[in-house]
Amino acid sequence: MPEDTAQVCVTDFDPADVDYAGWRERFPDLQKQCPVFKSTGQNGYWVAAGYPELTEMMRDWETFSSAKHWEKEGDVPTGGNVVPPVPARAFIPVETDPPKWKKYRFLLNPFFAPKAAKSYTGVVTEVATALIDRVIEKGEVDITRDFTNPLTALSTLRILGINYSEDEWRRWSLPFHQLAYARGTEEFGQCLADLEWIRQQLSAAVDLNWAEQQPGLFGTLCHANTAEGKLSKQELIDIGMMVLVGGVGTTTALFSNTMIYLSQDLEARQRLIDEPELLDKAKEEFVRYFSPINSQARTVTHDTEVCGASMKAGEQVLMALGAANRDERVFPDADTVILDRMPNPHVGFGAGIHRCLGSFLARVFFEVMFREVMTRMPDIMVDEARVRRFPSATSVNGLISVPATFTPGHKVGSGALA
Amino acid sequence: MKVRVNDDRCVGQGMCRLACPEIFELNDEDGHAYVKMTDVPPELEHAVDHAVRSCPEGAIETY
Ligand code: HEM
Ligand code: SF4
Repeated sequence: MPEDTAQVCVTDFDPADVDYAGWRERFPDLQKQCPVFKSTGQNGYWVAAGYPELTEMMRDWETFSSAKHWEKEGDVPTGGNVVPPVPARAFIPVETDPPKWKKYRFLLNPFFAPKAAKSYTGVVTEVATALIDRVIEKGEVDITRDFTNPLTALSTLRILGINYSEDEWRRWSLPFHQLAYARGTEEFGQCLADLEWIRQQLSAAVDLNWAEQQPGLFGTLCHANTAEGKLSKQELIDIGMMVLVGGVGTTTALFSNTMIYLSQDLEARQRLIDEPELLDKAKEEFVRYFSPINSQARTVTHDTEVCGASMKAGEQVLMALGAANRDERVFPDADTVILDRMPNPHVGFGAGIHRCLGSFLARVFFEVMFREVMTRMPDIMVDEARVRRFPSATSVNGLISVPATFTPGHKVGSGALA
Repeated sequence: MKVRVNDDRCVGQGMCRLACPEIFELNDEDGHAYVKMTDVPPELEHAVDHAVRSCPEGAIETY
């Protein structure tokens, strides 16, 4: 934006407010007036909503920090990826800055690079097949709770090489879904208790792997040598949680939104079936259009000026990925799904050093889910009247529940998940 | 037209390969891009232009 037109808009629109609905309509309006604006919500924070402004700021991690500071109960939390900061341990690597960030990210990269991600296709397909077997004879499925949430969680556990028992699959998967929407509801207590239980399971998995290395990524990490030696138990648990949290709610939000869309736009659905090669570009367009993570916070490290806005050290900035992905200056017809949109420089997976570690795995998840659903339940339709959305535009643009119906079919296996 | 990837900016978004798989490949270590050839044949110039404009990091340079 040229200097002379720079101005700072102040609004009471609070994208971080859990009660706010209608952000889809408000964001683009605000963005047109001001690519960077100030919200008076919470304790006041900046919002970067324009594409060029946001990408430049996200690349500048030295000015816009992700580091989270909170050690123990009673500490005042600062920084991190959420407005306002929450009293909880930092997720690593996402809530760290270099040099710490580099230590973890470089360790994880090879396991999520394109070739490694592709190699997990078989595992993901097995889980998808079993989950569909469990519902195929009923002709009814909750796409979110009975399919994409357990699919992503259980596949990730298998990739990590962490064993779970048949009767505990729900406990391993549902809390990662609830985490994104249940805050402030009755469900949240159970969700936190289950997450604690998962931490304990991961702790036991570290002991097991230290005694004798098990196959899978977690075993490899337990024995990995970094410049500072082996990872601590706490670091290993934190990384395990991050890989689960990072992949489950996000991919679930993406696929659930996509299936709702493909129940409305049947022409688009048919095109994807007739022209399977279109799927690569379409996946990216769905990530842009739905922006499963629609915002991530940063904290200003030193006083700076962006687009005429004077930001002070310590202030939070919400990077509104979902808004940047609808910036008409970069995406013509931004509010329309164009299956083969090209060029498509979306920031749905983020931008700069923290860009999604799991983006190639997410693409594998999506491909398998789409293929399995369209092959085994070709006439599936979401029952829109029963769809339940998250109450707000929190950081994940997701759905609580997405019931759908289809013509019943036959099992191909036992439906066992463990 | 010649093309290169600035590895200081590339973070492995993979959008370049989607736009022009004939030229761009991603490595197995970290998913960062490299070019399979620096000289762009005329028939691929359009696709390379799409790659340049699809990279959120501005990491692809033509010269
Ligand atoms: C459609 C699905 C997904 C979307 C939309 C998504 C989105 C994102 C975004 C926007 C970021 C950047 C956060 C920031 O800048 O603060 C991120 C980071 C991350 N994602 Fe994903 N993600 C997805 C799937 C996955 C999967 C499957 C995994 C599993 C490994 C994963 C693991 C991570 C991790 C570990 C980071 C932190 C990277 C770092 O800090 O360097 N994500 N993701
Ligand atoms: S699109 Fe840009 S950031 Fe992504 S891999 Fe290609 S050059 Fe790198």
